[in-house]
Amino acid sequence: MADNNELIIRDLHVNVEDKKILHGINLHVKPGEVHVIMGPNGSGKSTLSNALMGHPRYTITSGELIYQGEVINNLSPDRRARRGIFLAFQNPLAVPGVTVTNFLRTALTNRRKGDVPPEVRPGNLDVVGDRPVYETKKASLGGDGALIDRKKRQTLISPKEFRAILKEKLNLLKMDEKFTKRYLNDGFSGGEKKRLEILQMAVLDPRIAFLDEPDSGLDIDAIRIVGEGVNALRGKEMAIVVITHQQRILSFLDVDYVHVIMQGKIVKEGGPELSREIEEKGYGWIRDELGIQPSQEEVREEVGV
Amino acid sequence: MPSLLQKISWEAAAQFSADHNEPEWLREKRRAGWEAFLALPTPDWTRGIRGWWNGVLRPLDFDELLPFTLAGPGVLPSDLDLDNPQDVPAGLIVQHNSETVRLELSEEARSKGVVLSSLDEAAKTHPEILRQYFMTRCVPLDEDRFTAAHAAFWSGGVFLYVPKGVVIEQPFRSVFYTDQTHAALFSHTLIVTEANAKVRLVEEHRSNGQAGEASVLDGGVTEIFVGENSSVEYYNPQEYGENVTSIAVKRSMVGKYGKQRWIVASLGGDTSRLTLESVLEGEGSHAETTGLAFPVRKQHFDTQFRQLHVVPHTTANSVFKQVLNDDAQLGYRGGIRTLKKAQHTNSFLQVHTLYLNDASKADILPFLDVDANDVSCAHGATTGMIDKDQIFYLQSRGLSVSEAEEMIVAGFFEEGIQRIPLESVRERLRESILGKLD
Repeated sequence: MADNNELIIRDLHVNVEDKKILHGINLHVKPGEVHVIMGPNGSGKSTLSNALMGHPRYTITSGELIYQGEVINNLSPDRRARRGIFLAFQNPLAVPGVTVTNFLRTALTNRRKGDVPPEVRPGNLDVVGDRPVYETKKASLGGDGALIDRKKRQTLISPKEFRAILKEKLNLLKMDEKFTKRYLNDGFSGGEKKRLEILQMAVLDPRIAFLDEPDSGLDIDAIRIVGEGVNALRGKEMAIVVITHQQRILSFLDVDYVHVIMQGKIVKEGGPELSREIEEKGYGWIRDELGIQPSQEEVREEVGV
Repeated sequence: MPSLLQKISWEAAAQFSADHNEPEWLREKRRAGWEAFLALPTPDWTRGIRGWWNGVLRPLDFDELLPFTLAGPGVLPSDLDLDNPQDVPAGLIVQHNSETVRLELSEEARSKGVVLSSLDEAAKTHPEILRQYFMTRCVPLDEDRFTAAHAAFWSGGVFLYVPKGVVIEQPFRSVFYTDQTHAALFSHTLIVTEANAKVRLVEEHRSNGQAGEASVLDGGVTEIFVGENSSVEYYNPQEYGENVTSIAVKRSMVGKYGKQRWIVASLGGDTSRLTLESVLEGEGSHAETTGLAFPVRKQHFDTQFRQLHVVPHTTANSVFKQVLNDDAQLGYRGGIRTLKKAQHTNSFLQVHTLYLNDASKADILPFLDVDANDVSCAHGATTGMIDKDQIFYLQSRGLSVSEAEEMIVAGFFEEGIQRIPLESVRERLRESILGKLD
């Protein structure tokens, strides 16, 4: 079952600090598929992605996240990531002083090691497949000639191999190498942050990637760059779930399924034509059709406050 | 020759002075230091974590301490990497215990008239410069009981002199290393630049001692005189072992259009108190200060910082970054002081403190003390635990919580460390920060 990279979300209920946000979400994503989750602000889209990644403030009160045939509700975020789940954040945080290169090299090392529960992690996990991919750190000698018992540093993927991978992905996404020497999201523009999220996705090569509003705050050129980047990465193995409340990025993607989420539930599903319909008519018609009262937040949004 | 007297006593200081054929004025200076040491009380540094200085200083028994310790048979730590061909400094001076054991100066620096030597030596070769600058108006010998002891018992020392118009971009390097228990080291560094000069010095303080071993004292003094339109950069990782009490005063007097840059990192020592000050006494002068501190286990660190603006049109930017873990304690008192005539001062101070646990304690007091009425001065401070959302972000890329914390702390210090000019020193500092995160 472990090779089965399907994600099944079954009747998922999620609270954020005692407030019920999701009321029973069901979603089934298979490898290679592109899904879109649409919905007005405050409908629960970001809650779904945060709960999927395991953010500690989001509590699953019932239902299941099933991935690779296992329930992962209680798995830590890093172990989910090592298994191939990825979330491109709507507002990725800056980590000053940490270069993109150093960060990604550590992240890729862990991704390659895969998910190993901490209690059984052996010391010799330095071979992936049939080739060693980690360098070893030489021990240092102290002043009196004794071996200093220094911290056993994590052995990372070799700089040479890493540089090659990074370069390939930068080319694929038409990004400049100088990106990677900067500190993680520190002083990045909105567009640069979104592109960096896509670069991380490219390097880490996940099996399923949630992109939370990859288009928000971007002009049309930036959206095209991000959209084409995502398109370049999709393949038979990687499933992509785009969360958005606008349609512009969808014109660059070949979408299989569209799900509409309102007030914590998926209320309508369809093919790409559904997103075009929403683009023309907004969400009002879906509410009317299903007899849903708009929430205050949705009303505010639609009158443009 | 009688055997070396190693006591905190006037006889020992007088004998050392005689053995080294010190000029009369220098011997008098030692005498004045000794008398001030007897007259001054042990400082009552009540700021910091209230009261803990009393607890620290009382057990420091001057009668047990040995000044004027010889280099001895010990070997310098190989991770100093002093002979790295990729990282050759413009000059290198190494003091092992109280003796200078290594001195090198590049041909370029020598031919341009730069002087790098021990202070001992400089007292003979450049007495007029020393008389003018050594423990006079920068760090006066009677500033407190420790500077008084320093004046009486210093030895070795570093003297770096840069003549008019000489610019050396390649950094100089000095190392103070002790492996003597009960040593009373009084490390002294004096940098003097004439007009239109530039010099950079990376200075390291190291020892081989460990927590629980017999205590070692370093009452260090760094004095810097930045000449007109000159620039001095001073980088100082202090990585003493955890049996060392380090009580250091570092001050720079900055002349007209001069620039002083400090990057000081307090990592080592059981107890480390740093008094740091730039005195902007020339119009148009500028100071840039980065202070890093990372006390862990039972380390007690204390920083006393003052950015002093004396004359009009001076500018400064000061950033302090500190991380605490385990049972560590940290005191910080630092601020901007502008005198009445220091109009058009532009000065900013930031103090950022990160706690890695609940048990460590910090007492942070930034201040503004402004007498001029047309200035732009501000300070800001942040204090808190590591941002949980930052950790989640890194976790979402496959880093464990501890890996994420390590990376965030390393990054927190990195902005200071990456500006240190010697790669081997940078690398070792990064290692030593990661080592403290174990």
